[in-house]
Amino acid sequence: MSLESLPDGHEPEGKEIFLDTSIHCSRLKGSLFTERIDRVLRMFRWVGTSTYTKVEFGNVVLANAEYYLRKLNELGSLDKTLSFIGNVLQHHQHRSKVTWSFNLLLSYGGDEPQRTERAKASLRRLLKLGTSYVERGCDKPLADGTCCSWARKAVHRGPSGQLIWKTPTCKRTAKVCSLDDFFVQHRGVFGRIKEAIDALPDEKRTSQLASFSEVIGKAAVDPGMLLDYKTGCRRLADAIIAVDSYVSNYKNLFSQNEKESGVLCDLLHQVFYYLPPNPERGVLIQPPTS
Amino acid sequence: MMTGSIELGFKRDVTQSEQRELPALANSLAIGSGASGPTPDTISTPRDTGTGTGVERPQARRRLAGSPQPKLPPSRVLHGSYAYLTECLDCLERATGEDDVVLKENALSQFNIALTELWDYHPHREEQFAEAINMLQNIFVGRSLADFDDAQLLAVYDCVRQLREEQVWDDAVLNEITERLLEADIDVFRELA
Repeated sequence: MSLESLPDGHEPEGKEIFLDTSIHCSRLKGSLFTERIDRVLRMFRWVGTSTYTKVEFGNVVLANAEYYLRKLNELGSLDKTLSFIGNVLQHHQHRSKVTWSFNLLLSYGGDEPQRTERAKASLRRLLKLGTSYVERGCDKPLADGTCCSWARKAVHRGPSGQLIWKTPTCKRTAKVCSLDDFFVQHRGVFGRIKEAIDALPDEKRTSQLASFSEVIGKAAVDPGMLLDYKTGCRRLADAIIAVDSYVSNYKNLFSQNEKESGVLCDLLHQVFYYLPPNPERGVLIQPPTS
Repeated sequence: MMTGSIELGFKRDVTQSEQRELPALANSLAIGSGASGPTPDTISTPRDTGTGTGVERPQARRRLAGSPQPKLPPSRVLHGSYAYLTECLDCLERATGEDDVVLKENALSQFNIALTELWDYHPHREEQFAEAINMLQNIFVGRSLADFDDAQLLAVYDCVRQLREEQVWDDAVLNEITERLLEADIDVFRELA
């Protein structure tokens, strides 16, 4: 299991590739990312994803966009908002807000009021488009093994008209998806994931992988626990996406999560295309071990 | 109306066969074909647990819950917006129809100028107007015609034409246009820092 540089003239296995949430998000990170993403996608005729990635996209991108729009309205100025994010927010506690401000707070226009207004207009547009952004970058239909209900929800308006992305609040007491059934149906695959994670040496078992193993263990006894978003579904997110891609017969997966996706792809016999943050590394590929 | 995508086909094989027809300005001031108005709300019920087929069901476009219905702008504003949108269409036609590179670039420059004029109307229009014009301007900032292929320019043309036909721009119309531009591989949220 090792990553190597994607060679020119690389011939992929099959014509389909599956994108995880990190790639949808990176499509908003400018040309250093989009050019490399395009390079990989050009090799395939079908670009798929799962509905579950829409929820994660909302939790990352739309939640930050909502925050920036709120700050712009509160401070009334793009400069002040950028200054607030750069100088007031504790960066170690708000890394995501700082990082995404470089991608989502567009600075364009003549004077400060106009730049502020344009920044608000761009954020409103992104929020109103919502998770459809994910769909439009992929071929349809999307994999929907979990019948994720939240993926069908849009950004909505609050009492005073503000645009709000709401993080899922799903509870097992009000079942709105089929995640528990999905787990039961593919219990064997999830079991193999747990076994593989447990067999990893400590230095390779990241906290996220350890969390997958723990949740799979609990779900094996009580699949309904997955329906509670915070303690079940959310903690298993990337594994759910990986299994959804596997049972939809995707042989190739594209992600920015090196450690987790590397392990999952190897286990599920998928080719892992990895987009490292540093553009000097280009795109890396991990063929499945035989 | 051009649809811009095929639900179950390869997205990159979509062709756009629509003929360009510019209705006369006189006809269009009676704007409001109603063809792209708000679609029925399809918010899921709490017990809706999907089809279990393993693939996502297609769903109708919906308005944001709680979105106010945009008000009709003053007629002079509508008239002015319409005139500049018509100019935008004319510029895009020339940008795609000309063979001469200089003339094509000139047409794109004039398109950008018309968008700037349109932006000046935004204080008098619904918030979606500012979103749409800002988005169109962002696409072309610091870029030349060489950065776009004809299919992309045609997608922009179709979007501008749809906007011209809509009397009031609501979220459903704007989402439709944004999605169509994204489907044409136009980066509508590109970084501008």
